[in-house]
Amino acid sequence: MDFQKITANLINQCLPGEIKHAYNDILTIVGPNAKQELLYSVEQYNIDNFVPIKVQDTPVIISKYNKQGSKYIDYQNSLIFSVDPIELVGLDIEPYQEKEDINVSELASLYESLKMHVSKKFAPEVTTIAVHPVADKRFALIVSCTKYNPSNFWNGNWKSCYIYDTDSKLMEGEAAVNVHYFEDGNVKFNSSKTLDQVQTSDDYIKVIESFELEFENEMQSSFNNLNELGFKSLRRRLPVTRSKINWGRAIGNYRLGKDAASTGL
Amino acid sequence: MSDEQYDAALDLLSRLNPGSVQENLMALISLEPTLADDLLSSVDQPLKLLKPKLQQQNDNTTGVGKDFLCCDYNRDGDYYRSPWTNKYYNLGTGQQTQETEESYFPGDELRNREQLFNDSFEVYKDMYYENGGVSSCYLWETSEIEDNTYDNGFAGVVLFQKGKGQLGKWDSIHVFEVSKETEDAFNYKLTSTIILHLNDNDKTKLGGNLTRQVEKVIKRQPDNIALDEFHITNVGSMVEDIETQMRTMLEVVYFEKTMDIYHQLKFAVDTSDNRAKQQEDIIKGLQNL
Repeated sequence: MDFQKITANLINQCLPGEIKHAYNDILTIVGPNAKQELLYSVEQYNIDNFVPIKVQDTPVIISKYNKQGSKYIDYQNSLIFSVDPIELVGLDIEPYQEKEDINVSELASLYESLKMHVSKKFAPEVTTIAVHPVADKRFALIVSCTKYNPSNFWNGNWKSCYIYDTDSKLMEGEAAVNVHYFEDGNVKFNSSKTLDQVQTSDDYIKVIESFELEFENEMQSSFNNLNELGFKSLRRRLPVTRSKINWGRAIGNYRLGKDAASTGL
Repeated sequence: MSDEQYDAALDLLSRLNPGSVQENLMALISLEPTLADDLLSSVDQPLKLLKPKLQQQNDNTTGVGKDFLCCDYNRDGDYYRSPWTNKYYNLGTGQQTQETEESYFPGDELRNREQLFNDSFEVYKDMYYENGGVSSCYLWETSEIEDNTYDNGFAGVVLFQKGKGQLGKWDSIHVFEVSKETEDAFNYKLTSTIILHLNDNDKTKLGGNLTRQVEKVIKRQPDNIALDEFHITNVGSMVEDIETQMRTMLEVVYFEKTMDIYHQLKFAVDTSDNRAKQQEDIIKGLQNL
C-alpha cells in the first residue's frame, strides 16, 4: 500500500469529533512534507461524513453535491466558500448567483419539509440539514447531527442522506450512527441501514420517518441480541456455585469435583 | 523515533476505530518502522490463539497439544511459549521449535509457581467462562534473582479468551507486578484490560476496550503460609474481583451509555407511541391464541 492509501485509511476511520487531533497526530508521525496529502484526505472525510462547516457563524453541510471546483455552495443562504478542513470554517465567502438549471422553489420546499421532519426528532442545537441538487429533479436531503462532549468522554454523530426524485417520486438513501465513549478505555458503537429505492407519493417525509423508526427498532433488537446471546454467554457474573472462588491449595477441589462428575463417580 | 512520534501514535489509536487496532498498528509501523517495538509492547491487542501440533501420534505428555494464548509476554520472534509444556511453537503452523540461547524460560522455582498459576486460573476459567474459554498465564522475574526463590517479587500476565461464534469475542489481559513491601507484606499492582467486540450481522457493532488499575498491600497471614499459595490467593482474588467489576462496567457502557448518547442526538421515540404499540402487540398476540 502506498503512503496516500495508508494515511487516508487511518483518517477515514476517525471517530466523531476527532479529526483535528488525528490530523495533527499523523502529521507528527510522518512529518510536514505530507501536509497537502493529509489535508486532501481530511477534506474527503468531512465530505463523506457531512461534517458541518461554520460559514459566517452558521453551520453548513458540505457534500459531493454542493462542491463546485474547490469551493462549496450554501444554497439556503446563496453563498459560495472554500473550507479550512481542520478548523472546519468557511473561507473566501462570496455571494452565489443561482444557476438557471436549479429549481430553486423545489429546493426550498424540500428544505422546509426536511426542517419540519428533524425539528421534533433531533436535538435542534446540534443538527444541521441541507438540500443539495444532485441532477435535474433529483435532490439530496441530508441530515447531520454531531454532538461532542469530550469533557464527559463521549462524542457521537448521526448522518442520513436520501436522494429524492421530484418527478418519479422515487427515493433511496441511508442512515448511520456512530458513538464513541472513552472514559477508562475506547469503545465504539456504530450501526447503519440502507433504504432501497422505494416509490413514494408526495409523502416522502413519511417514508423517511418510518425508515428511521425501523432503523431504531432494529438497533434495539440488535442490542438485545448482542446482550442476551453474545455478552451474557461470554463470562458469567458468578460461577454456577453462586459464590466466589476459594483460592489457594483448595482450588484443586473444584477440579476433583468436576472430574468426579464427568466420570460419573 | 522521537517521543513525540510515539505519543502521537498512542493518541491517534485512541481516536480511531478500536476494532481495527491490529491493522492500524501495522499501518503506523509501515509509516514509521522505528515505532514497532514500543508500540507492540504497549498497545493491547486481541489475543492470538495458538493450537500446537502433536510431534507424534499418541503423545500423552501433559499439556501437549493444548491450546494457549499469545501476547508480547510469551513471544520470541514468530514463536510463542506454551504455559502447559514450557516449549516454543510457531504461531502459523503450530509446529514446536528448538529453543535458541536467547529464548526466555523461567527458572525452576518460578516455573513451578507458573504451573500453579496456570492450573488455578484454568479452574477459574472453567467456572466463569465455561465451554469454549481458554486461559494462559506467564510469569517473569522483575529484579536480580537472589538465591533463586523470587521472594522479593515477580511479575506476570493472566489471559482469558472466549469467542461466541460471529456474535462476540472477549479478551482479558491482566498484567500484575508483585513486590515485597515489608518483611511480612507484599504489594500487588494489577492493570486489567478487557477487549470486547460484539457484532450483529455487520449492521450493529459494539467494540473496544476498558482498562482499570488496582493496587493493594497484603500482609502474609498466617505467616507460615507457603509463598506460592499466598501469591495465587491474592492475585487470583484481585483478578476475580476486577473482572467481575469490569464485566458490570462493560455491560453499562456497551448497552446503556451508547444508547443514552445516541438519544442525545436523536430523541427516543415518543414513549406513548411505544406503549400504544406494545398494547396493540399484546392484543394481536391474544387474538392469535
